[in-house]
Amino acid sequence: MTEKKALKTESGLSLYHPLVSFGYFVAVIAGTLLFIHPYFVLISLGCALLSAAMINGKKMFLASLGFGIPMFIFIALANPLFNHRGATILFYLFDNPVTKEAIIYGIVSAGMMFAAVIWFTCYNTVVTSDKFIYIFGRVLPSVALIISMTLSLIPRLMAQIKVIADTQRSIGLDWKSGSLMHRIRAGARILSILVSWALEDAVITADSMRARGYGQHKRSTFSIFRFGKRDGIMLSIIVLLFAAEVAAYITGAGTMEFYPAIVAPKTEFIDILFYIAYAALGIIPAAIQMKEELKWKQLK
Amino acid sequence: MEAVKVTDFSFDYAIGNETALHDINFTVNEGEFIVVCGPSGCGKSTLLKSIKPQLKPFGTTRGKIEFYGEDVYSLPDEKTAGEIGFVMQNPDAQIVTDKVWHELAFGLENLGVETPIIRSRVAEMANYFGIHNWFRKKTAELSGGQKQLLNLASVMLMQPKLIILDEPSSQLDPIAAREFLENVRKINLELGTTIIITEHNLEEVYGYADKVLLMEKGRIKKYLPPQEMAQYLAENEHEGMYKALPTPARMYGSVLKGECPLSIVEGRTWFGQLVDEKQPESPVLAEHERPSEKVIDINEVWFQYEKGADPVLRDLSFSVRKGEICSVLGGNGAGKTTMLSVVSQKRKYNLGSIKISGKELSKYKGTELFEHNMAVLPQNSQSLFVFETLRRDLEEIFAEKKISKAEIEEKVLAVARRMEIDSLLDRHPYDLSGGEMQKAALAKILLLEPKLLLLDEPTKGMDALSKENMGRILQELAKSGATILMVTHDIEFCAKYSDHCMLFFDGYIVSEGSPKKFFSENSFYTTAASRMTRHLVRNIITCEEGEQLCRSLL
Amino acid sequence: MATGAKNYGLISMIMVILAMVPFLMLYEMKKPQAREWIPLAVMAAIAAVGRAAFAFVPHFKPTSAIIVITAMVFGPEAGFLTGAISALASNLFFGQGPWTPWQMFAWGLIGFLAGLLSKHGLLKKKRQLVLFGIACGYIYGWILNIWSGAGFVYGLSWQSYISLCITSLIPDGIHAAATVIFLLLLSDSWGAKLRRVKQKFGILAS
Repeated sequence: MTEKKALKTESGLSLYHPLVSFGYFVAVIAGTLLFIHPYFVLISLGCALLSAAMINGKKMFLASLGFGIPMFIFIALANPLFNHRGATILFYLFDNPVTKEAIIYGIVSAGMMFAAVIWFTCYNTVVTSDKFIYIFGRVLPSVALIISMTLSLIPRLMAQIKVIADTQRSIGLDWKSGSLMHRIRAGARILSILVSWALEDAVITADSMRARGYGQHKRSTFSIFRFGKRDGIMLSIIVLLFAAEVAAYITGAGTMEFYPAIVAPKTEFIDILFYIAYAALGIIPAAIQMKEELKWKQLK
Repeated sequence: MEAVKVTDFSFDYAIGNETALHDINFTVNEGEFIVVCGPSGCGKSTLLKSIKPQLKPFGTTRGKIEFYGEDVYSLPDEKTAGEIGFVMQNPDAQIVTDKVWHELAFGLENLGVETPIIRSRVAEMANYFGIHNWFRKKTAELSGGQKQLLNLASVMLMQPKLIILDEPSSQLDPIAAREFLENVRKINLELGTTIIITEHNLEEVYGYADKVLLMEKGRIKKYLPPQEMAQYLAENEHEGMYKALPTPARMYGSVLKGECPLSIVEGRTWFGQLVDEKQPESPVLAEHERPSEKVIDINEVWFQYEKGADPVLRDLSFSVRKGEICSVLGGNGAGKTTMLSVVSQKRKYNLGSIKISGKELSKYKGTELFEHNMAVLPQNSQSLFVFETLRRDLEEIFAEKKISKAEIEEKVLAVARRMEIDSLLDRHPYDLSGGEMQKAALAKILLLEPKLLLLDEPTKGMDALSKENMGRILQELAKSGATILMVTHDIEFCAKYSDHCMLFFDGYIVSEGSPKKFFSENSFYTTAASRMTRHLVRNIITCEEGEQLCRSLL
Repeated sequence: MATGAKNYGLISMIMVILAMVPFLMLYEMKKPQAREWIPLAVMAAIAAVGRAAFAFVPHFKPTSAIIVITAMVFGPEAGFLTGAISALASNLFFGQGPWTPWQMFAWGLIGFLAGLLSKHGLLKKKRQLVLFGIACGYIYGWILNIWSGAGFVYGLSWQSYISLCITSLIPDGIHAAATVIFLLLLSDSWGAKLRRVKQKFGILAS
């Protein structure tokens, strides 16, 4: 695990207010998880891949594919093995029937998970931890402050772990070599030193907080984010498209029958409208990014 | 206007054996810059914390501390939280949140200030301190100097009338420390904020002071303007504190003639007047012969952190000879610490050869290099300690060796005596002061019986007395045959105690020589004594030599 | 069931998030003092860092043990908070996924249970600690299996859930073993360290 590399320059959806970007991902990921339906999954996956390619940077995009594609294959294969429902039996594996319906369902649900994972990589680029804490802080300010402090500690502790490991090695205790048990023991020892160190520092942190008036008064919550007109417009669009999603789910346009036998997805006018609305939601990050890049080209 | 008035103040700790305060009386006027000094454990921290009600230690008080005429302990909390700012020693631990902007706003959030007001105040302050360039960064990404500046700015945002600073620069390297203290002075001069500060190293801050408060054993010894304080310290037996004075003040103290200079510029003028018509002779540089046996032998070493990155070590060659104390000096980020980590096998070099005691570094397998051979004193000595008492931590070195209990105890006691920490053996390692901790760390690695010691900033966070101790210990070790290589920013320490100095720049050793030769040839990168005297007398390097010269001129 | 594919992925995710709300709200309403939660933030960060540090052995993580030790000293509510925040913060740091709420819930629950058991003196003996450590590995694994099951196996049924749990027996077992090993290695000394700090903070407060 390495720390995710944030995009160097902020652009596109990142420049909107956290409520907008966070709301966007709630809408799009909810939609992704809601519809086990080949067209919706296809739209979601397509948009997710397009967005990820545009906003995550090449290296991270390829890394997410490296994780996503094997997962896709795994789920697509696992489903027919766990599930034996469906009318069309293709063959038997270890005395269990493998059905056409289960295979197709597996591919669709694998596509859904693949899309969800890719959307989350986009989320990680756009909704950085401070934005999340901002959203969280509006609901649970005290818990948000704890998270914020935990987050500031993690990189500090990672650096200290390295220092401790190096020092311990130089007095003859190397956690990178030797038997597994030796390595575990040496690692536990490094963590022990880390915990003393960190708790000792925590006493100072508490002092520093009290010195700056924490704890006695009613706290206000400050943020550097400002909600502008363009945020309002974008948020309205997202809410509207999300409403369409909900409507699609309620009317049944977003569900499809796989068992006992597959019923082909509907393609009536209203269904096509739902597909378009969903695609419109999915394309937002890529569209904003595209628009911005065109602007820059013109300016050159 | 009296900002702080302390009358007959006494304090007793409820538990523990820290120094209490007795009959403290002093006043600080609005806009004054007060330096509080005294040997470690004299109670200066307790005094500073007592002025800030939120940080007052647990215990009983007598007497009174007034802040603008009102009893500080009966003032409402939001007033003292905002109007008395406090900056502590540890730059990291004071930071609460993960983003610079959030950290700045933290204090005002606590007071319930509305967002628009916070926004404009944060903007103002970020501009004032030049923070706006890293305003959106994560706090973890900042350098030590930036972190401490952030801590100062976060306190300033609450618009304090008084700022108390408890050894704020002792964890910073000298360049960052100077910048930080200049910022403190700027606040004092431009905004009229009253400052009360303690520092181990008075070199920088002494000249800024309107008054200096000297403490000893929980009492105030003297409260005087800096010039008079220098005279007092020179006339009275106060070894430790006198040694902490800046070089110009000490040279003045050795003769007590004229007006006490506080800066190098004043010092040069003062020295000129002292020399007057006399024509003192410059001491002759003795030929310096280095021992022949090479303990570290580095030849044409190159190092990059990753492929394609800028080389940090470029064609580096140097050697450290047996029994030498060898110092490597150089600016921040020049790669000195990287060089140490390459020599101690933390990182692998790309090209060239490094021999330790005649054996190629890559031939040392596992932890072989550290078995009775090399030992490293890390910058953060905390990373060495695991247990609840120092004694257990020292004994632990022998945990996997077949030595009798009695023998272990004997060895531990011997090294503890040598480091003068035998009275601290039953303390928790984390309860030691900076200097004590550094000595304890040295004791621990000496138990490994190394032939070669690598030290990274051994004097960081130490007061004058601890530095002298450390220097003496190093010299004794060298005399008994150990070889020492240290990386340091501390020019004065290096001039006084090392046998061989090297200037590290741009990835290699640019110049080297005996300290005398090295520092008398340098014109910028040299000691205060040299800068003060070089226009009239050459080859004066250490403060002691300067003092001697001054006395000879009488 | 006949009316098309029901999707439990989203529903279960919303449910698990809702299940955490009362715990977090409770903490929020208490308006906790700095001294009460700073050690928890530290331990949550250490649990997260420990997870990264031991990445060299798959599924072998000290996180559960660290949460259990914290909960034993600071109680069930604090245990839940430490567990949940540790999962959330480490995912915020290393990258968020759909599994975040599940990990939060699983580690939160482990912390809560540890606090509860310890409060009633049920984690004093080494034997009890070992048993609970083993339980932790499986509690965590089985909760995350609900997500895997609901996420992509059609119409979550007992059979498919149980077969998922059987396939995850070995990774969960490694996690259980790690938890037991770290509990045995660390619980005494870390308990002492935490109590030292708790005391230090207690003094500061009075």
